[in-house]
Amino acid sequence: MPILEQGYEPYRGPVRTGGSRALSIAVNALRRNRRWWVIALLLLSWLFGSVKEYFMVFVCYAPSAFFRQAPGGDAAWLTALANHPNFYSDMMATQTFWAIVMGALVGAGEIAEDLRTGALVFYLGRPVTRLDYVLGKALAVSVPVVLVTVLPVAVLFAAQALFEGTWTWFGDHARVLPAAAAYGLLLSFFVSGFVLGVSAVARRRRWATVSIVAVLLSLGLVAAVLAPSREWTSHREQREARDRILDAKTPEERKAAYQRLSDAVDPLGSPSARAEWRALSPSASLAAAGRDLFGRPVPSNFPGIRHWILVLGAAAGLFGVLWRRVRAVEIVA
Amino acid sequence: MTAGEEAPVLEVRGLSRWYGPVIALNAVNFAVRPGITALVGPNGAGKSTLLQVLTGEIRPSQGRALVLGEDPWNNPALARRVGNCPQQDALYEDMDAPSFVAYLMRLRGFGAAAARSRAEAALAAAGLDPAAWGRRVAGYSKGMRQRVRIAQAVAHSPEVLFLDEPLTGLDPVGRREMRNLLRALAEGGTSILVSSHVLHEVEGTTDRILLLHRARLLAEGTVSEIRSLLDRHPHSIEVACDRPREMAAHLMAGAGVESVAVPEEGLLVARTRTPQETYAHIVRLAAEGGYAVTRLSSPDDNLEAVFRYLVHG
Repeated sequence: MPILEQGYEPYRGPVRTGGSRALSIAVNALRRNRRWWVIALLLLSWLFGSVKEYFMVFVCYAPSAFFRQAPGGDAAWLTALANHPNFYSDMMATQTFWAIVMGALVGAGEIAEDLRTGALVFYLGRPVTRLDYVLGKALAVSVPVVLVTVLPVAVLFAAQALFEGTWTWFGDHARVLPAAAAYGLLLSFFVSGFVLGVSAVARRRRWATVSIVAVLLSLGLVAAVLAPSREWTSHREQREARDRILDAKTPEERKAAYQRLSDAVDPLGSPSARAEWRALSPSASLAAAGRDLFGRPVPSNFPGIRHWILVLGAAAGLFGVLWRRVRAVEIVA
Repeated sequence: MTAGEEAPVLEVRGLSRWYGPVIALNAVNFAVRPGITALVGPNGAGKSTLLQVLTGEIRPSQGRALVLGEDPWNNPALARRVGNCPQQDALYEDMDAPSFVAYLMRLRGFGAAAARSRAEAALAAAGLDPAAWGRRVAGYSKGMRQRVRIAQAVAHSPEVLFLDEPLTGLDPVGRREMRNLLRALAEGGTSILVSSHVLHEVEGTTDRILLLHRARLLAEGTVSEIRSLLDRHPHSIEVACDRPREMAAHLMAGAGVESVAVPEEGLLVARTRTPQETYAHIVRLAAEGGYAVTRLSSPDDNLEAVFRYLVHG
């Protein structure tokens, strides 16, 4: 028996810090989720996000930029692509969907299965703290989130920088990478808190996945019913807004009418009477928070910080639930 | 503690643990010295809760538990010196055994290479066939899974080892191998607390017993010490002989015998408070009365009977 030959000396070798234990947990969780369809979905998300935004740029923005000679100069499609102010934040907003999907795929079963099978005892019976465990699992969910959001943005930014590469261009786009990183962090916090919190309550991977989808869909549905987006109301609302601009008698009225028109043509905007309910949709609130980070204006139906409260508050609350649930498996027959 | 006596490895004083209205441990007191000690009790006795407190997984509601002189709760330094084989069959099904054990070693602070080599050594020691190492745990039999659980508990050479029902699921050969492994570990200096609800499983492994029932410690000591508890209470003796009714009459005349029964032809069961004297009386009767005694035994003469007696009153 080889182990007997070791003499059963207590281990006195180097012991790593808590951070690396969390890293071990994250690496193991990611290894276990390294399945072909997860990788295929990751590639698809890159393709989808990039193609959609390029499509928007080439089909919607570039021709007009080409013909109008967009500000900044020598026009051409590349300039339009590189200089369009909404390109990166729109791309991040598109990737939010994929971030939630990938986070749910990796994280839905992480806590649920450990709780159901009692595998938690393998962690808590070791020099692993509850913080190590939660941090490790959150890190495992955050990696795919960052991979589908920050990575493609960084790659495209680098590619465009190669073409543009002037100090002026860098100056104009100085905010992109920090904003993308900040949004990636925010998204990681939200998705890991949401997915792992639900996973800790559901106790089974399948139920966790169903619950995540159900919560997102129901919140989105409620928000869509109470505060429909422009696709449902735009024509009538836009007409009304334009009429109000024409009818405005004071600068304040005109400003309000312009804002109403702006909201009516913004995918996040809702000109309905209950427009504030739009913030109830997690994806809309995340997109609004993303715009704050990228320095873009947020529609007036997201007044104050309610979208931040929803995004950070929901995630923090679910992390709290997770923290409570991650305890020893207490069996009393 | 007298001079020369070894310091207790585990010390539990007034330990209670409750979950709402349910009391899982009720004012338990004991001290365990180095070697192998068995924690015995029926299902629901509180064994697993006690082990969870000792491994630092849960906090006592009242009282104190010390492992190697330290409080196990929230004590990562102590957790490095302790091994734990839980009852839950909670292995990661999609991993192979060496990867699983190596992963848990990584959580203990081992480097990648050391974790892998220790994992393989522990799996070999636990008797898991190397031919199965490349397969996923999901395809393992119950016995193989049990070996993986034990391997992860011993791979870091702990000073104290807690095993919750370690022999469950093992075949007779596996049980013998596991007992040998436990004895080898104990000889190597590891103190072991092994729980079981089946007495004969641990009877051959250790002499020291802690009897737990309904959250209370019923008895503590060696097998013989616990067995001596019986001497204060009626003890059954079975005699297979040719004239049981006649022998019964003679036995009733003797001191200490409380009752005699003849449950079937050729068999006599006597209940006595002085078993040694009654044994001597039967031998004397057989010699003097010419009884053909073919068997003389006591169903109470094993740990199972002690346990049954103490548990059922």
